Amino acid sequence: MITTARARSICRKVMEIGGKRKLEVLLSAEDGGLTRFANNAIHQNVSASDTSVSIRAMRGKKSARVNTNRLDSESLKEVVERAFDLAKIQEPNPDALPLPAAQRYRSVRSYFKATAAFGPAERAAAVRKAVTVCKKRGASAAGAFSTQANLVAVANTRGLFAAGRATVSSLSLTAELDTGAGWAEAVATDVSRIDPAWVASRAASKARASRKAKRFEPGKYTVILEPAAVGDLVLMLGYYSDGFNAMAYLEKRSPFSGKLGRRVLGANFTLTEDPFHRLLPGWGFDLEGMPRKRVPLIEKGVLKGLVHDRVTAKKIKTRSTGHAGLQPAPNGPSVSSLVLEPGKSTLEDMIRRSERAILVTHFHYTNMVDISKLVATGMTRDGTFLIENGKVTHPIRNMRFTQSLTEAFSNILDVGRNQVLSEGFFGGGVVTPAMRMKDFTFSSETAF
Amino acid sequence: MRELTERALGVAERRGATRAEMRVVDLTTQVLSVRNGRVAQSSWGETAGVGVRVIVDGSWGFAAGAKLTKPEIEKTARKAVEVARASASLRSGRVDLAPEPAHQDTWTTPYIEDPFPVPVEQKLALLFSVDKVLRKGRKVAVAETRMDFRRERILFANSEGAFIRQVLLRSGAGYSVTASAGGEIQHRSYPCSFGGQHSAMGYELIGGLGLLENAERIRDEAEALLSAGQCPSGEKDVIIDGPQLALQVHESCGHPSELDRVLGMEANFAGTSFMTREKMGRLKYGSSLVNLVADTTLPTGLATRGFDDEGVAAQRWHIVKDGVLVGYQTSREVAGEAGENRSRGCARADGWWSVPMIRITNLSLLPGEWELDDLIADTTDGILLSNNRSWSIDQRRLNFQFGTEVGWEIKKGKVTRMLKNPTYQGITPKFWGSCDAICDETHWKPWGLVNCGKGQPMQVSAMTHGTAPARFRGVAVGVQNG
Repeated sequence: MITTARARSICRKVMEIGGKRKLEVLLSAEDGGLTRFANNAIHQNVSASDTSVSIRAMRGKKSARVNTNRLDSESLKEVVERAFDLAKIQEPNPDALPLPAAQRYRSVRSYFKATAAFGPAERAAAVRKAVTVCKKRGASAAGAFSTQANLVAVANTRGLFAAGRATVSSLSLTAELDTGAGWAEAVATDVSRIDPAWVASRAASKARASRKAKRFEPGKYTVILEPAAVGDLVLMLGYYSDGFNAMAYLEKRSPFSGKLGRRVLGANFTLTEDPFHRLLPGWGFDLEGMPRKRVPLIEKGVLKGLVHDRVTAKKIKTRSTGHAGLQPAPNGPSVSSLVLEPGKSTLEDMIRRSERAILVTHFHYTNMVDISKLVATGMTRDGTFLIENGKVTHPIRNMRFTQSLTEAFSNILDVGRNQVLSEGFFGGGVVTPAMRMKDFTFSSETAF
Repeated sequence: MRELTERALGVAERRGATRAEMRVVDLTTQVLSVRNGRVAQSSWGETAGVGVRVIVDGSWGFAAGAKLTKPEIEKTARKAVEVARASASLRSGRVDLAPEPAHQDTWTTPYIEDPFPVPVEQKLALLFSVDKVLRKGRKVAVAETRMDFRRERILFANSEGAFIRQVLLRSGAGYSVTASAGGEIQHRSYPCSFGGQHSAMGYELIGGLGLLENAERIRDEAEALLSAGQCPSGEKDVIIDGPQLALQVHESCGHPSELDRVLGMEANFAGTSFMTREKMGRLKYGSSLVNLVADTTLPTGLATRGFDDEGVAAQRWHIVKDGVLVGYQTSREVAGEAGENRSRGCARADGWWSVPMIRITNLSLLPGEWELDDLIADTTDGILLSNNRSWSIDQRRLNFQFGTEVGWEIKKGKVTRMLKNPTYQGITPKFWGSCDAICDETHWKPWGLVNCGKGQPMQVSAMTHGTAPARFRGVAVGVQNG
């Protein structure tokens, strides 16, 4: 991957081509690899790298964007002129703001050389370790080991320059044994923190325990959701519903519109947008170069904050929190680093305290049904168990939940003490503990 | 270019590849959108690069890079070999590809008007005119209109001697309106959800969509939904309209008939399939009316092309015939696992940076014999469901649950009122088994879908599903929080 100095040089070159005209450059570089395996063998192994620039040409209140990964001088000249030609024929945007001036940023440590240098041979060795564990337990393993390094830089003709590097690695593994399936995942900015044997062992144990699952009647039950399952619901609440986006809030399309300062969820639910959390990859600025800030979103169930870009901040006379997307971003700013505050319970505590409950490893294909009422649906998968009188008694078949998240997060009985970084099914990362909640609705069953 | 591809493939072979292929891809996109009276996006993009895939020691390796100079392409080829050697350290057998003639050919999407030279002012003028109508509603919170165009130039070459140039063109347009009042949020879109209708056509698509002509109706429906009755819970007969049925076909037949899923290659992420191989020719997938045909030659289809990304020529075949499972979507690697000696040509990559994998091709429900008015008149207690709002399906593609933007209650053969927040849920073979009527070819339309995600790293692909409205008996509706 290119260096920060090279990124700065490319940005400068673009601005030199622009001359005295106003423009912004967003440079993205990535270098990544991913090894997929199934049926205990590697079946796909890829490596890709790219560097591209996105140029926003400004003509007063008019702007246009051109993207390219051709970085030679001639190509850059062509796209800069194309961007200004396009900007000329736009309608003026009354919300458009001048480019921001230079900013100061808090440093973020989420780049690890070991992750960036982790190659196909190292990935294959890690996968072999995981598969060996599964084979020894009689299970078949499927999954993916990925490593990625990214560099993002933002520069503009007012002198702003921001650049940050981040790495992320993950091993996700599904083990299948007879009729049972189990899953485990490890996600880390530093690849050396991923233990393939631990991931495989956990997935294989779940697969063994989930064999011969019994049919279970859908209905309302107390559930114990492991961190990845909680993460899925938090992503729905925070990301897919646009709940904390200030523009959605102002346009009354956020489920929280009009509720700032009011109790919206249970008193044991505290959610923060925290780009500086030790587990999360990222950088200290947004896509127009404004410094990212930590934003308390919900404190003890009370809606405390929203994320802003400069446009929404201006509308209600506050400051940007550094959550802008590519400008112009008419849909508004977006959260990217959701962190749910831990509690004091262990998973074992939650199981012991449950007279009758369902333990969920993770969910599949979770999606919003009704944003205004925050209703979501999804399937359990890879290890769903019945708990009776404080003990896991037997595995049960997978079920579909259809559940108001407002109710779910108002019915929390326990919050786990360990926070885990999870990847969402549709992308995104979130840091969450496990949770126990009552009256969680399973609306239908499936055949396995 | 031929010399360059031969050199790069030669580098891979000299380093131990028993087979090598490369795709040089040059992708151009244009997106224009207007939101609440302002230009929300006016962007133009280009990306070019090369992807090289090789087999070394019986295992796959893939590498991709953006630089198209001779030394950089050769470097990418060497990297692909390095990746393949790593794969070979954990393999269960040797990759064996189904044979395909080494085609030397060209293919271009048929079109009338190239959308890229059409002036931006002309495109924006149409979007603004629709936006103006949509924003006349008092309860309209957001009006969004959009057009997008994509041209992909692909050069494919492999060490078997194939050399294929293709130019794939796609156009799309649509709009959505969000109405809000009293804490209620409702949404309508046209012609279909998630960015509108997309086809492998030129700018001529746009004029035929009736964007402006339908804007007032769609706006009024979004506002009316705010005070519409809630969709009841229980079992009803449902008539599902074309765009929603297209997604139903996609999720409940498209994905489970991808043979890589059936073989467990997606087990950890997207899941597997209930359409396992021992059920071929035996699984009663649906009623005898149900015929689902895969077709890479479908006119205006988003997956229509001369050749897939393994150089396999376009084909048409049944997945479900008279209600019975009879086919899979395959690649050269897995065709033999389905007992076939040739790939169906379903391997596609979403760009130069991605490895080809089995993707749903154009997959359509063949039309039946009903007029829609007659079908409604024949329904005693039902709901007409229109345009997707939410979707979810289990990891073997059995238990699904969909929500649509709007429902229309049908009582004693007549549409009686609008229903909000409609949802329906079922188990795939039981659901398709309850299909007792499909509308005729006058109601049949190809619906383009451009946001199909699959694989790791996630690839986003496009395909078309032709459907006509169809009726399903005794379906669970109104699934909302118990």
